[in-house]
Amino acid sequence: MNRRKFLKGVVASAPVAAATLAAGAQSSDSAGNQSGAVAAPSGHAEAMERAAPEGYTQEQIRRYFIEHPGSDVMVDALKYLDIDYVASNPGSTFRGLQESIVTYGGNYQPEFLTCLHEESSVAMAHGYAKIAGKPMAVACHGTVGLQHASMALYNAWCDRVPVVVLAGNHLDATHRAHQVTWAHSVQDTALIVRDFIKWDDTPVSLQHFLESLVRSYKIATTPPMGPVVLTADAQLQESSVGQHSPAIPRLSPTVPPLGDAAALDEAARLLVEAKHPLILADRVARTPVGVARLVALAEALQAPVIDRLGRMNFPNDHYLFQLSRRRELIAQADVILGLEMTDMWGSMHRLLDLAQQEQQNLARPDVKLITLGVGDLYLKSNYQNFSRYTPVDMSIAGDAEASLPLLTEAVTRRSSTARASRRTERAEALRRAYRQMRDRDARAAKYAWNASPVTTARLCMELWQQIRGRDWSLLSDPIFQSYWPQRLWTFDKHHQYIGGSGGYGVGYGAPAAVGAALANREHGRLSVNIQADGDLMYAPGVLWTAAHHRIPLLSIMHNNRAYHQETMHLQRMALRRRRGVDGNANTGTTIDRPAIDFAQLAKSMGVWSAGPISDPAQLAPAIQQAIRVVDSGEPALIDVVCQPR
Amino acid sequence: MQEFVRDIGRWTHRIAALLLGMLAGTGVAIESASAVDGEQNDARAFVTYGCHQCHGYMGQGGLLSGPRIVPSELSFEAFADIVRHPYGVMPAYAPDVLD
Repeated sequence: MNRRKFLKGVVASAPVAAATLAAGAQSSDSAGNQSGAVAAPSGHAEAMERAAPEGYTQEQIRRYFIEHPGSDVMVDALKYLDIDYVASNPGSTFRGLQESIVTYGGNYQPEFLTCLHEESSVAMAHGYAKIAGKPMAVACHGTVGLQHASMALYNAWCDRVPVVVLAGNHLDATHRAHQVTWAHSVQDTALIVRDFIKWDDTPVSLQHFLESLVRSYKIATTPPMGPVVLTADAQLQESSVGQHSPAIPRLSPTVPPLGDAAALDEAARLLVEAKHPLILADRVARTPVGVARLVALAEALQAPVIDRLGRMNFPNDHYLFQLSRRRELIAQADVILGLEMTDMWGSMHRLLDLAQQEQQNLARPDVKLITLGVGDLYLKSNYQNFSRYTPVDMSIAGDAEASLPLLTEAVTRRSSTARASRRTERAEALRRAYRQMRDRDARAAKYAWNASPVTTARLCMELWQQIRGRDWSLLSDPIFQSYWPQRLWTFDKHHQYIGGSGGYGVGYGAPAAVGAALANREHGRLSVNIQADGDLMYAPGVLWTAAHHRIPLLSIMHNNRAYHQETMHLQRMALRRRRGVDGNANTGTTIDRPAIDFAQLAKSMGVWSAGPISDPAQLAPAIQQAIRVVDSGEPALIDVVCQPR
Repeated sequence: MQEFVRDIGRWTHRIAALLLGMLAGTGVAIESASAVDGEQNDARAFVTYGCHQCHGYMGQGGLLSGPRIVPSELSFEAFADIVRHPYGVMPAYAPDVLD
């Protein structure tokens, strides 16, 4: 078989592989192939047909060459799983896999993405998955690479995002050639990250690898999703497959779990009978369907939605979107439904950061709390990102997006005409409150409009003026910009917002935006990233990756020349201890003297840039120019000297 | 940060003067207005005491950092009381820090 024809066939079959290739399933053979396995789409036949090189003895051929290495089969499996990219900083423990991706696989589906740090690789995969709706693979050393990658894996874990990490290793000590190889070998590859990944394995045969790869993909993409680590041993990659080509097992995607029907019906009863029902939504919408389903529920109840912005859950131009009224609505609610909440307790309470901690209960003492989500279905102990335990009246295990139709149906069924007038009154009040909230936010944005440094409100409005009307996608977390985008722009599509890092590990923003922009590229969307200065400096090399792979992304710096959150913390400590602040809060917290020239930094890596801009009047023309660059398929960055928040 | 301080002198005078005036009313030591430009002086104090960190260089506020504090209808006494005995999570400015 011609290799190119074969590859074309594999690529074409991948999206429907589970359905079509299963027809070629074989029963177990001597290679350990299982019943239900996909007919091996390997280069085995091609390798058998290939003539021996001329001018070599058989002994020399055995010494110099190898046919059909195991890593070719690994690439077959990645193609089967429809993995489009492998983000990686190159490393010798997976040199076989890299070569197979680049040459055997034609560097296409998957394509090898050159990254300059493993943290960037994983964070790119993190951002990518939230737009693409499927995982990207990451290849790294199982030792030094995985250690670099660990922080980004923690973010992906906390954010419940699938990432498939292939970690190279030399398990067999007799194959470790020298000290470098020994330093790049580990007994238990995933140990260092096992507390914050969903699953891992160390396969010792190719068949084992294929089964574990498909299993890891299945586990990673089953809610609650999460990153997985699979060791790709160097010997498995580099040795010949041999006479019996292993088979790729068929992928059996798991249907997300639904909430119990009776429990959902009881939840519906409580919500329908409530005078002031309230919906809290965090990581609800995995897909655009999730947004529509949440809108349907909110409208059926005429209940306001407080979006915790873990994802783009609810359109902010809908009158039931009441982001800026969180406290008053929680205080008023008699029944609160929390959907896929990461911190239910934190939504109901406030723990004031004072010398003597003070707890405020935001909700009524008689409030009924209902939670629906998959958070309780998979937890680990060590890292405490599961947040404080919250006693609730009903805790329903089930994927919210999948379960919402059942809940909405129950709400509709239970909604009597007698209660219609109550819903109408509530709707009218919420419409008024929504208009007032938007007016209030618009007025607030005008304060210090012409200030220099530029206010974050002005920055966001100038950006909005240039992107509205386009198919845009905001890829950054606006928490440090006072959520101005959600307060001032119009979000009505799922891909317009992807939530934050999950673990609040700094360094996520820039690479996640690049990865998400890559996923947006095929849709022709305008990817926008409001980029924090401190975050970018963790691994700025990702700008080079964006330029190298021609990933169109508009980054606008929120450059406050500080790790500003820490500046405030330091001031708080100094005031609490009555030592004064007199400039001390800047020590160790500011990124100034010298100020970093981000435009020059970007330019040095082949990214079009402008700035630093401190006059807000210069923003519009700079953004217009940058968008023209992005429209041509390249990344662009504008450095804007901004107010702290 | 020095540049910031110089810059804000040009555009925060009105607000900073109000706030600094209130602080002065509580006994806060401020450089003599006659010694340097008054606008820069007010603005420098606004930054030195870290007001801008949570409330922005012009007191415009931030959603999760601190509320907008201008324009203010507070009296000197009321403002001083808030600075000394703030509510919420704002840290208190004790007399040995600001007096």
